[in-house]
Amino acid sequence: MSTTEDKTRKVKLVTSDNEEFEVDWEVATRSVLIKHMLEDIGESEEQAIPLPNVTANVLKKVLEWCEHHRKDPEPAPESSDDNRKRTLEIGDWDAKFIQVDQEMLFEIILAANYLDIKALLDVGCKTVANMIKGKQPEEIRKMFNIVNDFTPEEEAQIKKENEWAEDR
Amino acid sequence: MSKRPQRVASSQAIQKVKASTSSDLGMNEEGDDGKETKSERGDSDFESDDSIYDSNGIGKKRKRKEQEKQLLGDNERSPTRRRNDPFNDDHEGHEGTSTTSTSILAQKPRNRLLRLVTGPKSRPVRTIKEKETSTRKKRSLGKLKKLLEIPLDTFCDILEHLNPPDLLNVARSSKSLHELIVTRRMRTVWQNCLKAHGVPPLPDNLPINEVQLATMLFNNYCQACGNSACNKTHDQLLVRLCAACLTYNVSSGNKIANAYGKSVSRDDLKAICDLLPSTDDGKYLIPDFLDTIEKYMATPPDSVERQSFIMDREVLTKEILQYTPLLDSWRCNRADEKYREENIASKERRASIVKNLSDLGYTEDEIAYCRSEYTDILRRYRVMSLMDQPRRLTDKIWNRISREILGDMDAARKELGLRNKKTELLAFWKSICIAFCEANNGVGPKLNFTELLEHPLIKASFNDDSSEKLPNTLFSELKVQLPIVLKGRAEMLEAECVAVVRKGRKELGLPAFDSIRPKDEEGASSPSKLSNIPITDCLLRAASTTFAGFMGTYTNQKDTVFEGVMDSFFNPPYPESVCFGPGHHPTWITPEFQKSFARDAEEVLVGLGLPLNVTHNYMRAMQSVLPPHTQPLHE
Repeated sequence: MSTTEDKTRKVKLVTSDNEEFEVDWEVATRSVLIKHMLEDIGESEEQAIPLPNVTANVLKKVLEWCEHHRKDPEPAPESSDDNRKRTLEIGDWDAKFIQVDQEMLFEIILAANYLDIKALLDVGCKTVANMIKGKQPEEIRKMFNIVNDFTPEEEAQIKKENEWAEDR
Repeated sequence: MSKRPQRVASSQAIQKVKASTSSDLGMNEEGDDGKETKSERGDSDFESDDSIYDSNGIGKKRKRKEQEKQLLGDNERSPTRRRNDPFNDDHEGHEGTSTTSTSILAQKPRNRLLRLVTGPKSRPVRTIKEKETSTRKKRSLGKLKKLLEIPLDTFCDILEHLNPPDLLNVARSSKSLHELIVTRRMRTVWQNCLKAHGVPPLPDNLPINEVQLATMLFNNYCQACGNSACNKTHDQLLVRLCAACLTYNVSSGNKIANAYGKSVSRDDLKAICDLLPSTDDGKYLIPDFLDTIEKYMATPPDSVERQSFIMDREVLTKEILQYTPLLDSWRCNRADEKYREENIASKERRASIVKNLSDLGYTEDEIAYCRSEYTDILRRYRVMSLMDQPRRLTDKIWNRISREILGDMDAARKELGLRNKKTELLAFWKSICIAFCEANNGVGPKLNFTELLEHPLIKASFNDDSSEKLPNTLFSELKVQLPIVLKGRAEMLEAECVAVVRKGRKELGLPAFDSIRPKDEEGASSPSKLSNIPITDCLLRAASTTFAGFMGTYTNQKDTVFEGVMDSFFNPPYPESVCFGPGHHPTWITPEFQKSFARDAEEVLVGLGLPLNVTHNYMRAMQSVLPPHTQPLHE
């Protein structure tokens, strides 16, 4: 449980390109990774948290999301999350937030995964899923920039068969 | 605890997919074409133990089987089985669905779905010609290529968010992605993806996997011929087949067992039939039935192995039969949910459009009128179809549909304005008619509302779009002009009818009505001194010289009574409301003289010994007392 003291506390974060960010404890602890690290280092306010897998421009973006969602309730535990019926709907603010180029989108997803920010990861995954939604294999190939290496016969066959690769 | 493959910085399997990036597509992948091609073709690189997805030897097993098959020289095939025989395991299917021997997948042992056959009535899959890349599609070129560089667990996270048909499409986009996604290690992803759509979990023993279940439930093509309009699944058979392919792939147990001759006894057949789920009419999926026969017959009679096989099959069949209603219920829930969701989306869309229209200045009445039954029917359906679609309104959709809706709204606004003016005029006209009746002993004006609308002053006011209301000056001018119009109109219309009858009689060669008129000093409709039969000196009221009144298009009934004709135009001289349009009261058209009727009427009157100027009302009264075959006039 966070205390009132925690909420007023500042946290220092250092990115892979050595840029330092000072943010509110409440904002920083949207990341489970940072939260655990803060718990590990205790009360030491001066100690900066190193984030070697996140660059400054990505962290800036991630912190923007954390700032907006600082008051959001704690995410539900894993078990109940598994039972949820998933939709691909994204809130208006999040949809606008995630309107970034492909490079940044995947950097955000990777950062959310690394920093363990489930809700942000969800937004990123949903955005990508929405981009794939309703696309035919040919369109997907174009999006991934890959070629169709199936012969027409193989294509017909995989549509029919669908056995696990191990069982083929 | 996650069952997914462990996270790596950038998985080699995904890298393999990435490596297949096309230089043909004009993107900036350079340098290692040769190596990539080798990897794509499923050669040694593909089956290397280095890949975390191939660590169990995916493909090795297949390769080994292929080698074994080559050594055996395909001798496993029974020489007695024929091609194009649904009972033949090696059947390649009807033309268009066969596979080539060069296919990397073709040499594998066939699973139950690959043994489904097609026939002459199956529809072969249409080859859709690839369209030229549009600008829009070009824009999406390589849009998600970074996806193939991310760690596997994040990649799995994204896959889990896909709808099952989308996940199937991703898996079908390349061999490497297929090898990556359609693998037992990805079962959790498939399970989560299906769970997210409420699909009941697939029991472990069932002869299909989650991918096949997703295909059966979410792809609407026949799993035999690929025809893409197959909306029926056969859950108990765990397959989706079109009507034609169903006939080729299911049969009664007896017929299937016939292929084995006497080697399958009646008792055996009965036992085997109990080991498989069947359709409602007791038919079995042929590949499943054949498998079961083979396995059953491979065990010695009354042996422990056979008992064990029977028990296993019974458990499996029970599981299938328990799973089938779950799928049914899932389908019902899904349909309900879809209906509810569409309903909500439709309502939200309508509300959004109404709000946009209100913001543009259209009133609630105008919007309601545009959708009402009083507006033009085509416009109404057009507007309703645009407004009520089960898709929420987005800016893009609004931009696309707004021109059409606004055009219809403008037309409706104009129409509603006109209607409001007509309503205002109608109230005024009703008051004029009431006053006219009172002044003329209950006889109404011989001018109806439709005719009134043709008045030049009224027409001018209606054409004036600048005002929503009729000007007060119009009413004061009408109050002056209408009495003049109404005065003598009844006499004028009667004179028109008289002229029609006179002309008609003359053309028929009948004597002029005046010549048959008795010299009766008591005037019209007075009883004859001789016979007490009422006669008339008004040719419009005589039974002999009448005409069928024109009743417009609302009815085929023709009134031969002059008053009836007049009533059809002028009683009442106004509609209840303007909702049904002015056609409710047609404008005056001079009725036609019914020549054949007039001649017949005179012959009947002569035959009955009645005077030719007997009144029509008398003859009508006589109809009720004369027997039907002697009735003089049939109206």
